[in-house]
Amino acid sequence: MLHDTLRSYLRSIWLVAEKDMRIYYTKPPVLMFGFPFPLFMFLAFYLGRSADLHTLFPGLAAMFVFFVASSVGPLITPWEKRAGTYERLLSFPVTVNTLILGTLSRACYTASSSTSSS
Amino acid sequence: MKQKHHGVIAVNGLAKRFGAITAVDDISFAVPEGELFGFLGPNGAGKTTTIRMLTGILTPDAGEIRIGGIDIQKDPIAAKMQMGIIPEMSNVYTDLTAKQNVVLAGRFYGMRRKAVEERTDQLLEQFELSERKDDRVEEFSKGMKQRVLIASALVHIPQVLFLDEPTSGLDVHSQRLIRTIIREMNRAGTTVFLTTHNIEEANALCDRVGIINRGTLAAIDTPERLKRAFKETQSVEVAFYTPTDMGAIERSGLVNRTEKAGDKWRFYTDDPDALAKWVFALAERQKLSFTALSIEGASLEDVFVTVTEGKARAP
Repeated sequence: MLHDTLRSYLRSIWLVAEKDMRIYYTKPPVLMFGFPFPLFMFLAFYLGRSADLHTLFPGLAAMFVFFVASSVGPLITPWEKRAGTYERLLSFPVTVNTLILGTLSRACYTASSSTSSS
Repeated sequence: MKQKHHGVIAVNGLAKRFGAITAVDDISFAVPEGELFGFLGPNGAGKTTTIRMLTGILTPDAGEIRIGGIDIQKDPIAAKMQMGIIPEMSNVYTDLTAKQNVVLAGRFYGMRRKAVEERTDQLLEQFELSERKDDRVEEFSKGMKQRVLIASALVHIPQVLFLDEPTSGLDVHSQRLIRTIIREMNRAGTTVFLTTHNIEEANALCDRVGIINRGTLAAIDTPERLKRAFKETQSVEVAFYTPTDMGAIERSGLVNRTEKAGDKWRFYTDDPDALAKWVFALAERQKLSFTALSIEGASLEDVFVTVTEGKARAP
């Protein structure tokens, strides 16, 4: 019983995260805030200094992730509410906690995976 | 102690307040297994608040809701697992394809990927969407989006189906298709709870209707019995080829109220059969030729208007 509950809980979190990634991580505002912005910030530190690209590159990767995650996180719920998909999402066998954890876990996962790979 | 209601949907003493306004006030009813139940009411009567509480989107202030015997407040996930829901303010994901939308819904209900894909293909075929299943929903018409929405509510073969105004604003073809599918699901054993503004739709589809007004259930019965309860709205409609004095009919003693409707006269009566025979005899005697003679029973619309204007309560 507990096992089933836990499984359905984790499944919902995963599905919310998967849906978020499929739909929202490629939206123009996310791409704009998530890629050119950290790139220019990186260049501001890199250009005109004798900094080593090898030491600075992980910083760039981390910034990409930080900006993508923080630009998309607070936007998903308002977007969904406006599009009318949020209420239907609530009508699925999920709780509000699951929805929040799903959205958060996606951002954390993106962050941790990219940081470890760099 | 109030009588407890049993059924697939069982509601006891349900209430919800928004600030000073009581949206739903102590509603109790039950919908037995396999029934197609229609929920009618004017705007702001508490229809959507009720369906939102039944589907676990809103938390009631008081009362108990059981879906298939499971208390929705104690175990929302198990209760929701049995339901297929189309909320009022709802939409499909326009960035996903029709198929992705339905598959996503199925997976939320814990279906295996292979099973959900088979079922999705079958549903989209049934909803006449299979040619466009891999197109993004963004380009779909309103009727097509609604069909995708309904397909995703049916994907896990729910025991109970909740629909909030499923056909409002759609073209006739989509309306018919959706009604056919609701009927088929119902025939296959699914209990259906449907809210609608369209009284004819409720009349044609539902086994039983409940009319909600100002947060309370004003009437709940089968459409035919509700109509019969409102005898005063039965009428006989008459028109003759030549202009005739209708005063004689009014003085027959059978007429409660007379109304002129275009070139026809409508006589409200308690006994339409006797009045029609009386009018017929009159025409025989005076050699009058009819252009119209019809008996109009009370329509569900009359019942609805009477109940929601607070003139009468159904027995």
